[in-house]
Amino acid sequence: MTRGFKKIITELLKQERKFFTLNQIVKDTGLKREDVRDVLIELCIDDYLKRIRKTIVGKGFEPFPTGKGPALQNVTYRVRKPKALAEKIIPKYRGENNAADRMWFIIRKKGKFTRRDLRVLTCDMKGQPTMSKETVRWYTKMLHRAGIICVSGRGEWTLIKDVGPRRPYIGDQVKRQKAESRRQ
Amino acid sequence: MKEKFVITKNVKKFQMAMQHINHKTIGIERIALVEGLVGLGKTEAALHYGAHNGAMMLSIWPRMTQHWLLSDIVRELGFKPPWRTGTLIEKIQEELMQRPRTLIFDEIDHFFRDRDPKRMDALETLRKIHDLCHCPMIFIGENGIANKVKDLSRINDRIVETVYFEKLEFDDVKSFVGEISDYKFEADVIDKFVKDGNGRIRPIMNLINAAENYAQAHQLKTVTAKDLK
Repeated sequence: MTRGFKKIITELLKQERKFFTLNQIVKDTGLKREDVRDVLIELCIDDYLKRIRKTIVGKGFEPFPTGKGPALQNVTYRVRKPKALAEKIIPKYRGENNAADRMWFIIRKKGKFTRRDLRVLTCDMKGQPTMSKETVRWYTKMLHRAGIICVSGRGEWTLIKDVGPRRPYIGDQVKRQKAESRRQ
Repeated sequence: MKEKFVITKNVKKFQMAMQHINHKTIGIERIALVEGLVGLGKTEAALHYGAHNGAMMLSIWPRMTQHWLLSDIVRELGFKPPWRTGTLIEKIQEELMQRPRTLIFDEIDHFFRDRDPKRMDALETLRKIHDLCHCPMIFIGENGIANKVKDLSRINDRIVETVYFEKLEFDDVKSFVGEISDYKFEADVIDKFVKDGNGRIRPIMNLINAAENYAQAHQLKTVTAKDLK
């Protein structure tokens, strides 16, 4: 995947643009012109966008690498499939009704819960636990970091932000945390 | 206390009823009614079932109207509820036809409060959704709900199974304690649990917890009634 792929699509969808130019996206995302151009070409090939026209911006030449490149072009695009484009950046589920789904179901229905509740109610039909203490601990910790649940007592958690029946994607939280710790 | 879901006789009955209503024969109804006193584990059993089978579970609020109920169902199915009631029903129908799932409605007795026709309409709407989508439905309510439903002949006819959650007796509590606790309890303690807890799981759990705390503090392996006095 090309660099800035998610950011560019998010920017396209954020303003519900039907038409846009390369310059606009470069300005809004703050990414390199070459990277944005590559992503947009990729999306054109996959039929998500259509190239409408290109205008030569001034008489300048691309400065890098030789200083004698083709003239700067500002290409105008049209969004052909906004829904499909939105689906492209939605995180994929690993499966339906997995451990996290089950825990999310119980969290939503109970509102106030303990880690024990999650472990007990996700037991299999014979009553045996299906997930480890570590899994439950990790999941509650991640939800807490994402600001979805909060601690409301000793070992008790409360749901503060109900995002619907589809469990929230918290995978990015780990990446963000790692990135932040690296920066510090 | 062990972190384990104990399959009591009530839970077994509940699971059997779920198997009975999850058939594929068109023309045979698929509504089950669950009734029992407070604290017998009806909601917990439903949560356990719902979590494993991808069911939709909705707790009924006091004075819930038809529109409120339908909006909540649409929200639970994962959509933004539209304004019009007709569109709400269309949305529910469309979704349940494509992806059928069990619908669980808890605290259904709120519909019978004051015999308000608005709330009766909501219940009739659920019956209609069941007829249209042919999806299994579970109504959970407190003691006496079955008698109240009997007055509504259209719904009563469609109930194929009624599960009565009963109070736990001595043997049930004995096996329950044996499965859930790390300590040994003498027969007199179990008898005390049955009497003090009135055969209900919620208070019995609290009593077991208190007894275990005592046993841990005093380093006991077997707890007798004398210890708990």
